[in-house]
Amino acid sequence: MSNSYEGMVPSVPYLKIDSTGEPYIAGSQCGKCGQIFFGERTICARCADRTSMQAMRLGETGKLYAYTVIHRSFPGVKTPFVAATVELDGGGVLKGTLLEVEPDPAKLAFDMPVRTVFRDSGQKDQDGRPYLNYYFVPAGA
Amino acid sequence: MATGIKDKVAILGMGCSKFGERWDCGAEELMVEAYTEALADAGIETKQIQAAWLSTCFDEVNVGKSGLALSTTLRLPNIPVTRVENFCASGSEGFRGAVYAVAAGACDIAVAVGVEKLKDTGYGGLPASSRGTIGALVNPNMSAPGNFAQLASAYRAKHGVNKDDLKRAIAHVSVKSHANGAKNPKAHLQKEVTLEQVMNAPIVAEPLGLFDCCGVSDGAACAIVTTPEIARAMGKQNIVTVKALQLALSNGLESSHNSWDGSYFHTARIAAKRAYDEAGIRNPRDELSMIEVHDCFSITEFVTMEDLHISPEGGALKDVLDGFYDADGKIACQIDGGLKCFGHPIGASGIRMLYEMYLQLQGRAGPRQRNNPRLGLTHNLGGGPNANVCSVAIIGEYN
Repeated sequence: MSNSYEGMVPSVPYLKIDSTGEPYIAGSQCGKCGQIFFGERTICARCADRTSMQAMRLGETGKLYAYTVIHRSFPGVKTPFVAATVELDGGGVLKGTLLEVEPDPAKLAFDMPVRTVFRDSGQKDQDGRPYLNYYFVPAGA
Repeated sequence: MATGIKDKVAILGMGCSKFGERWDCGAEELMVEAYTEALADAGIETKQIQAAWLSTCFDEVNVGKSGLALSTTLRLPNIPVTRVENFCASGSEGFRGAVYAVAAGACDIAVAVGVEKLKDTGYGGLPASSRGTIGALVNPNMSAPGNFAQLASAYRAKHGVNKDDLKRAIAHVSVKSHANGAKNPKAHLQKEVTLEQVMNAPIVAEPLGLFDCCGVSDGAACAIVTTPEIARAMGKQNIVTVKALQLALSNGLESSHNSWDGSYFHTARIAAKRAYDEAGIRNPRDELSMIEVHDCFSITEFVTMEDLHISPEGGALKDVLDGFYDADGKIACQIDGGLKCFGHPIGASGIRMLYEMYLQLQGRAGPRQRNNPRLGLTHNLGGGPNANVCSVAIIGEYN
């Protein structure tokens, strides 16, 4: 497992690969007010404290908060797909694509449990290295 | 101590080009079309203009950077000309510049012109900086419809609204705007549509279908402003003055932490409150005659009815379906057809909204004329729900 992401390029700065080769979503927590954010940051956007932000790993399970099903997108983007906003267990909110569920509102319920997965996006950078991306899937999938 | 803008500046003249697929002309000709009408309406000559503002958004596909495009096109008399850009609220920003210049006493007469020529891009939406880059790869949902569509599910989750009920309500929003636009010779889309057509149109980003999205158009609009005293001395009747001019920008709260639930516009609620205070309006639901809001998508207009403190929270569904915002309703919304029928040439839209409010207040709106309107509000939004620039302006009769 630990080598399976070797040579891959994380698609966004807040997607990281640790020293053992495991990908994770980077987050931060304010030591003063407790607010949790996705991505690493040094200043709290809630209480503006500059001294106590701590880097953390965000949880990999959560609940579907809001979504839309995209049927028309930019040239080259395959549709339809579910664009989701997920409230992560343990704090933090993250947007991403929800896979492995039919892109149909009838199949999507508010608060349905989901989990984060890390996969090859299918696209490569100019040196031929594959991009690693994160997605959501239903918790049972 | 700030005293606000109320009744310090009058609109001397306004103009608006025909909006649409203007393959027949360039951005410069569109500016001239709007300006010529405004100049004739104001009854002045170009040499009397002392400062100018040009609002455009996409300088790459439009008239370029700086105020030169306006200065050279209108042969302005070597006066200060400033180009402004503030996302989709750029038009209101140009107007704000001209109004404040007059209010400050820096000049007697100033002009604001907004223009955008979007059809030349050949693309069915706004030019997106993320297109073809890594941004599109990770965040393909960052298209404008994809971004605004999530307002709908967040609203449903918060207020427990059934999916089909919300779809019907936002469809009503579009049916109403098309009915109004059908009476406007300057609108891009001048056809009525039925509820069935809207409900059954292809989906762009659920629940937004084709008719829930505004069009892509070319257009320009223009406002000439002065002081009420000068307007009166020029013999103007039915003088319309600026009552409030507010702008609220996101500060990162919405996109940075989860105290914002995604179902409303934080900035609009703040800008509207400030505008009512500035204009001396205590109860907008009773006092406003008409509103022209930023209906880039039907769901945007829908939630904005609450953000402007007109419909109570959770009450937009009932008001919309009751026809409260229809042409013959208590407060007409998008009486000119809105972005829905005019499309959204970015730099022009904010001034185009004011143009209709101005015509209505002067009793010159033809078949769309409301009975004795007194106060008109415009709401011009730039950016997405989670980070935006929101302008709220109120104009009305001068007593």
